[in-house]
Amino acid sequence: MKIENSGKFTKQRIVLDAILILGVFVAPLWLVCLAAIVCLFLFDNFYESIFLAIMIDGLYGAPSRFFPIAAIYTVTASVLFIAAVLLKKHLRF
Amino acid sequence: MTKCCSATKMNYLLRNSRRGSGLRKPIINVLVVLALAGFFYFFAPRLANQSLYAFARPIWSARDYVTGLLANLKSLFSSKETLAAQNLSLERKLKEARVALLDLDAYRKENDELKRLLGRNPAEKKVLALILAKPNRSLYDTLVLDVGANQGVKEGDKVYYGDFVIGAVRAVYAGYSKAVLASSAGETLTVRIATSSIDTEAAGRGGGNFIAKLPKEIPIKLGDLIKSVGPEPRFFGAVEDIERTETSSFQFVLFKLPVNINTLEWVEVSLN
Repeated sequence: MKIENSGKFTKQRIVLDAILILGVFVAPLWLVCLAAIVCLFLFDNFYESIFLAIMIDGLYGAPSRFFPIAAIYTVTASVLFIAAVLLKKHLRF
Repeated sequence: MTKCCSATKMNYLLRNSRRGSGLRKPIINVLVVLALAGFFYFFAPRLANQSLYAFARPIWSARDYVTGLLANLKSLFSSKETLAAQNLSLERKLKEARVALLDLDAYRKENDELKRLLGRNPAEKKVLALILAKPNRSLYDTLVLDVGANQGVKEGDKVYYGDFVIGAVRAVYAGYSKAVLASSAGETLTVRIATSSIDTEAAGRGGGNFIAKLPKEIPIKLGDLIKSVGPEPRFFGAVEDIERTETSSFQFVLFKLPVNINTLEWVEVSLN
């Protein structure tokens, strides 16, 4: 299921990145997050997911009682990125 | 014997296996990215956020324009009878609301006059703010507003819809600000319910909902207004439900904002 040349910045990846960035502003965030998680497995080293998460925290985040630093999405994206790298090594991707 | 040895294939795991080294580089890269993000968050938060909002504003305006167009198109497919019936119902509700407002205006003027006579006349300055992003967009229960430090907004300023407090400003930038809703999970506020003189703490449950705990003996009924404590009380909502059990000595009052946050377009920010 892996996309050809998935480690490189192909046209597919750039277009997808542009769509995801636009999605952060206009689409429901659960959809953007789901798409980013899928891309974590489709592409190698999808660091764009962490940048998207940083954007979401920057745009909508505010410190609260439970999270003094507005970084819920950033931390979650970082953990998911590492988990995806680990899983891909052990699964046939 | 030599022929036998040369034909043998070596088939064992090499001592220096490189299998584990593939994880180190991604982790280091992630830490570098997080360090950069942390640098901007702590040392240059306004620069990063201001640039983001400058980029976001035209996109949000285009989104609202397209959403408005699509909403108008939807009405083209409704039958004339449905639209006519809807129109009549809305007109009737509007007439009832206007009549109720006549009384309200008179009471408000009387209240202001009494306060003036008693020497309590705080002039509250408010600024109208357009909501650029609503809380249903993310896990954060925040409103992104189009007013900021340039318009005199400061951290802690209250956000109102009419006489109802819906939140407080938590982050301010040059032309934008973020307000956290009073009903966000984890937020607490001191309130007074109906005509009781007992102050209690209400906790936010998200989505405009609150819960407060009161002794069972205090008479509360559905629809009672919840207000803030102080000489200039503001409202937070009206009682929606009351939970009481036989064994407990407390009652739990559930209340919510009378407006749907997700349909709001404008709010007011108090600059005091």
